[in-house]
Amino acid sequence: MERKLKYTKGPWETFKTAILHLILLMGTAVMLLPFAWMIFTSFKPSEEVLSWPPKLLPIRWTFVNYIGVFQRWPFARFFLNSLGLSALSTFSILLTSSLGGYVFSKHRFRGKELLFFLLLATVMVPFEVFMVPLYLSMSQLGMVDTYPGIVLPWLIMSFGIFFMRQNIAAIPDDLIDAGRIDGCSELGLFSNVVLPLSQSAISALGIFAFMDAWDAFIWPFIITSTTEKFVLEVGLAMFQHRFFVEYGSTTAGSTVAVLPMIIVFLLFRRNIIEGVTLTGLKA
Amino acid sequence: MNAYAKKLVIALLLLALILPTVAFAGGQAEGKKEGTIKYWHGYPEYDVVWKDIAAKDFMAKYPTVKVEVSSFPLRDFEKKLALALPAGSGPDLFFLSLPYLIKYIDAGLVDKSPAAVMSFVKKSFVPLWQVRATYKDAVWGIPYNGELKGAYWNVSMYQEAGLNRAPKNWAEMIDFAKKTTKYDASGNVVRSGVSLRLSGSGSGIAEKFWMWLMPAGGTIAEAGKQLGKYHAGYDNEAGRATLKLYIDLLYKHKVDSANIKHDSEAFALEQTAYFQREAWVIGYMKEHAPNVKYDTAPLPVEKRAGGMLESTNLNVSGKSTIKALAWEFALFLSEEKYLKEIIEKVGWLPCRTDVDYSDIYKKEPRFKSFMTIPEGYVGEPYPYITTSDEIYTKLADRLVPAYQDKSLLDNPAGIAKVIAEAAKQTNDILKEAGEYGE
Repeated sequence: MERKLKYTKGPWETFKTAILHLILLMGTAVMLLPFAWMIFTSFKPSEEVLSWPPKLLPIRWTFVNYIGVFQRWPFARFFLNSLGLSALSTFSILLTSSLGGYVFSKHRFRGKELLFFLLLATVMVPFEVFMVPLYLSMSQLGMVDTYPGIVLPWLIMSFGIFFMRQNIAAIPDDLIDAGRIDGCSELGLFSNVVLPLSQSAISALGIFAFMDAWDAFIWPFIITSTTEKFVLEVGLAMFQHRFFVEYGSTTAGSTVAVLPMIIVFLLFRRNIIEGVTLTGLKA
Repeated sequence: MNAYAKKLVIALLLLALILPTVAFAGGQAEGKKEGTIKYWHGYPEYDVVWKDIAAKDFMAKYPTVKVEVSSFPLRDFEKKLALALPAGSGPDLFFLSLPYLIKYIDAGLVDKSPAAVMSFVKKSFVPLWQVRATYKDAVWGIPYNGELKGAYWNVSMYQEAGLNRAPKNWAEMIDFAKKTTKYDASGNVVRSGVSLRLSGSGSGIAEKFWMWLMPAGGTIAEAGKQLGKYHAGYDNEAGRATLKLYIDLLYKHKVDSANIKHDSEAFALEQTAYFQREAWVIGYMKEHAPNVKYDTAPLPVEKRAGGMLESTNLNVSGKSTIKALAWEFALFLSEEKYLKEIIEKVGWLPCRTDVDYSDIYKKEPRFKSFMTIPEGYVGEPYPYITTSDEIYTKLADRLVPAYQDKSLLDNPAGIAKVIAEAAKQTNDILKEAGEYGE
């Protein structure tokens, strides 16, 4: 008869675990407090926002900030613009990064190392460095204040190609060779072998790409001037006046803006952690 | 048909062709207004008048004209304009004050005011405001909003201390501040008698220092003999007196502290009895602290009555394809009706001086302190230099640690050293940019 080994913690182990959890809880509270403050402030009337001493919970709960946000600006339109930009950007980045990653990791061609080096070099250049020439190019192409003008810089991500290359490199070459011997086309190998084995990385990259596009501010801000084309982050900036900030409206708008990110993270957190961990271990 | 009849018919036909053409050309010369005016500005709070009322009225007046009003946070608006104007994809009309406009004027990107606009400016604004739209002897744009800096004082706190008016000079200001400051059991300031700008963004700190510096007889960048050239205007008795005032208020009289709230928020929360700001605080108080009893007053005098005086102007882009229409909309926005709507709904004040604002003062008498220019008032414009932001930021970088330095109390040599080093840096910045002149 099998005997099950039962591991029991001694008092010292239990104490250490309790201390660890306490520290983690405190850290969680510190990280969550600003979010909690933001959400509760969004339900406060303006005279309570600046009250002293400050109170976390509203005395008088109100939806007036949320109503104001949607009435004074086309906030629903901003939300849809952000959703459209993020969805299109994510799809394009996943497609180009996985294809590019596959080529760089599983194919040999002249100049591959130099090309990859140049690709990596672009990752290190901050966007602010090339946004002016990019704007001038868009202006000459007649794409200023247009949806294509907003989305074009977000269709390809150099880091994404690097990320997928690292992940796809871990797939055994034997699998690819076996597919080739069986007469599978390169596109077939990509879709039937590479993609299924890269699901975690694709999920992680997809989430990063979505978040990156969702949080975009400077480019959508400088390329658009028509209010209806603003994205969420640009719309949120409208509540900052010259000398004061409408805290109620800003927190209400921010709560609306951050909800999709929270939902996406809660749904896909395992994939994020898996993708980052797997890539880190095998790199 | 005989020959004569033929000639008559041909002549009549020709006349029938020519006459409508002439009539039509005459109609075109009158001008059918059409096009889309893009108007950009950096004050989203103005949209409640410009976008929601004025633009709609203009489009109702001219159904073939579309007006697109776009607003952005001010600093971001300036960056956006810096990209869009040179690229030719900017607005037709934009809202910007002259010191920031000069670089665009020099680059040929701004349209000079046409004759009708120039005569409107000369008729509707006193010379002190006309100058705010004048550069190299030409008028650029229409001055729109501009006001004096003023003081806010809490009437309840002052009455509590037996005071019934705002201070008129520095000595009174110090005395009133001492009487209205409150401390806790440990002697820490919990309610300041005067709220100073001790921290925050660089240009804000330098500006508030400037607000005290002007009545003391100094300024940040003083105009040199040559047009467009400046030098530091505070390495003198005025600059040293102003820094000494800050140090004394903090450490000798203890009427303010770096550890409590400042500025408009402090005033709304009744954590200060007195501070200096622009007129927008009136609208802010109405929304955030409607029950606070307060009044406004001119800035206290030390050596002279004076303060910074700058207008934000309506300007037309040099690359606009509908300049005449853009100017017409600018003049439309300057009509009395919309100026008064802005005062009531936004709280920023227009600088047009040929309008009777007495009905506004009846509803809100506190605006008067910001709109009435006293006799002998010295209004200092913001300097017309490209390095102003750098000068203010670098000055603030030196002022903030100076405010925290208790050793400057009763230390004239220390104060003089701080001011001299800051002024040297200001002059170096001006020299590097080729904008220095004695």
